[in-house]
Amino acid sequence: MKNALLFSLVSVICLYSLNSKAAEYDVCLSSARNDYDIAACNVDEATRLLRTANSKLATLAANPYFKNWDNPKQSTSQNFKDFLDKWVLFRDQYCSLIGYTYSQGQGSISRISETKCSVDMTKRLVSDIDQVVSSYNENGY
Amino acid sequence: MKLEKLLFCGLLAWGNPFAVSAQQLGGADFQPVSNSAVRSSFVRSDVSTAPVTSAKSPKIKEDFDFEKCRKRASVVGEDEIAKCMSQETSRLDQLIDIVYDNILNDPEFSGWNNGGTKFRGKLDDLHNTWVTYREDYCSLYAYSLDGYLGSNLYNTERCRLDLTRKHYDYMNVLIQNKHSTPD
Repeated sequence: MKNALLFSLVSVICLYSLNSKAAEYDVCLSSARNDYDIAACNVDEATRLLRTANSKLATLAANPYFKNWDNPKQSTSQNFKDFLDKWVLFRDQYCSLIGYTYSQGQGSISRISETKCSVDMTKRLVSDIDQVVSSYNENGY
Repeated sequence: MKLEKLLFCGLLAWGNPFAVSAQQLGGADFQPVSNSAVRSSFVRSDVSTAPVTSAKSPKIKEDFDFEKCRKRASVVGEDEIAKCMSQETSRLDQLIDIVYDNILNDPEFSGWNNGGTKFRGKLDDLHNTWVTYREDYCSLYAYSLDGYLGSNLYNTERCRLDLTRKHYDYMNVLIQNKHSTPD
């Protein structure tokens, strides 16, 4: 119960932080002067979202309940790190292909598509992790 | 922390503390297009009913109907429903294999698959990393619900089916993008 409360508190703080940082992304996009600036905004936003995902996973890893998830032979934080590393590999491959499909990788539209894909995929990862946090909280451990 | 910030956080927590809209995160979300629109343009139109064989997964009955299976299984129990979901996931896996094959055999994608531009990768790697993510994530998701809601098998299979459906849509986006590229 105590853990669930702590989780909720951390999540609310993260959400507050997420909202204010997301506004920075909007500002960045609106002040972008060309396609390369837009791509740079996307890269920054994807990096920020990945940090959010990493932080949420670190919170899960610190929870004793998840100690026995996945591979008990290595540390819980290593399990979660592996999980994130493997997902990043998938995201980068997929978004690279998305970028390529626009003009076969030529021109700024490819770069914008690739980086926007990276933002949206990372957003979905955060949402997937939130689903786990939410399930755990409802679980009532 | 200031009082208004606390009130703001409290209001957020009162609703759905985890719900963040695409608008809040900035920009329109990257949405996959409908399957039917994509199928008609690239994937063979008969894939959903044709018997599909693949080296990666066992042969699935061509007339497998997930909804019928689920209805029948619901009177038995959730592990039986999980079996239906597992079969449906396998069926979708095979459809995804076909999309991968189509990409692999399309000369316009060979530049990516074989290198040649800064956008390059390997389709096998893409597939393998996705499967790894699906299995890892669904294991974590089911673990978070362990002993609380539904059996581990049910929660795992529900998650696998959900992610596989999404991945099928996302792979089809690639095909649609390619077809929307001006010559």
